[in-house]
Amino acid sequence: MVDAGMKNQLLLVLLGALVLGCDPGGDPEVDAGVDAGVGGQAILPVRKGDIWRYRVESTLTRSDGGEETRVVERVRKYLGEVRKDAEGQAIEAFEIVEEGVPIEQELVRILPDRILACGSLSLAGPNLQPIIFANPVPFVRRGLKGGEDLPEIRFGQKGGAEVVRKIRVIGPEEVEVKAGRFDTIKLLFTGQDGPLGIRRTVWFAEGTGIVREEKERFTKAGGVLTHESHELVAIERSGE
Amino acid sequence: MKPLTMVLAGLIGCGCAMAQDAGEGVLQLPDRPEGQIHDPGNWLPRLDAEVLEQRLGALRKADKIDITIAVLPSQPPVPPEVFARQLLGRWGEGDGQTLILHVAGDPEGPWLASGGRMVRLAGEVPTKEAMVEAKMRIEAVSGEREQILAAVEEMEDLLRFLSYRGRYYEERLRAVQASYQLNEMQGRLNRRIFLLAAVVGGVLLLLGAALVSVYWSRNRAPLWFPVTSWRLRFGAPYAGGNDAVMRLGGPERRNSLAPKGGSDG
Repeated sequence: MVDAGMKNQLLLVLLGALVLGCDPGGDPEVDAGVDAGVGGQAILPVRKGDIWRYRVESTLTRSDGGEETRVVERVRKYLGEVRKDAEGQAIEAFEIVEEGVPIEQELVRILPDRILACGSLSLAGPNLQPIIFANPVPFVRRGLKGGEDLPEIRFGQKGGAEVVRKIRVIGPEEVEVKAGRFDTIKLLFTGQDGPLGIRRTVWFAEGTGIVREEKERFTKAGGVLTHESHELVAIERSGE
Repeated sequence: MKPLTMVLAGLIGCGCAMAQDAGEGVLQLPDRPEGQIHDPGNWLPRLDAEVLEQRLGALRKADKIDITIAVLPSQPPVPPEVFARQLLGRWGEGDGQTLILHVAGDPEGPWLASGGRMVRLAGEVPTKEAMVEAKMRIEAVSGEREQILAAVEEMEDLLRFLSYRGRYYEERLRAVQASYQLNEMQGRLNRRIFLLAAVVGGVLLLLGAALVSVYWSRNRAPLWFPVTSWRLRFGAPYAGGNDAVMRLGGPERRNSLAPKGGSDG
């Protein structure tokens, strides 16, 4: 005998089969409407020269099995538009400065309702070319819900190894860091840089940016190689 | 319930209960702990256990995600992955459930088992894929204690993700159901409006036909001028038009309708 509750469950499962094929992640091209949000505030208001200061604690596993931990400051500075892509669209950059690490640039496009990742540039050598994605992928957008998969990032590296990033929206989370308490959305990036496994968790607060970050690189055979923990300490807006 | 059905249900229930008792007798499944950690040998450092209890308790309360940790001092009587599933089946509560089983001193662990309504709704394939990824990262961590902590972190993220995904699908299902019901209602309403329009149209048609019929029948009857009285006016010797009749018809009948004995003079 099938009771009413079980009937509802069965109906739910059957209807589930109809919609399970649909990815909950919205198509970036479909819903790319410009929406500045409540009060007209952009998802990340930026001005050239804005600075985010982070406290970074990184642990490096040495080849002898020992660990080395250091605490440094990492500065993320908004440079504004730095180049144009093949279609003539502006590419903006954040410059990442950290003691003992070559300067890097995160190449992005900041729209009122989303931030697209466009690539990266490491300034470790004089003749290095930036990695530019053929199609910018959403890093974060307004209205993200837990349980969504964002489009995968996939590009080839210079040495031939493929870089893959799978992005999952874990869900909303309230986070307290030195800079204050923030309502964030937690994003999990997993993937491979050739033989290295990557696990990066980002807590993004609308209007503020990245407030916390955990990054881990590991190999199946060698275990965890590095672990970094970032925490927002302060934001310095230019002109304030 | 009819007596026969009751008897059958009772027999089936007894059978199930006996099978369960027999199974549990072999496996000797422990009771669910009051908190989230079953560690009879106090293998986990006290501080870790306290932090984990607090963290997992909050997660269970806020998000209905139930992550339990079982640390066994020795190997269970069945393969650990089977034991983990059995324990989850007995202990699991909430929309998303995971059991992390660790056997002290066994480098193969920890073993993970997941379930719950939201996890089932999110789908078997994404759950399996995510579990494989999680397991890979847990295995990369060195140290049994560290692996348990990594497993908690992985499972917390995974269950939250799957729970939200399940909720998302549930919302979508409700929206599909609502849309289907709305379409049904709209269809019924449209059918009723069509039926009503047909009835009203039919009645109007009949009424129109009746009116036309009456009109035609009235026009086909002889038309009579009203009878008028006549009298001599101003002493004239004759008068005209008395009892005149007009008929819409052939000229051949005109004479027959003319008043007899007219005094047109």
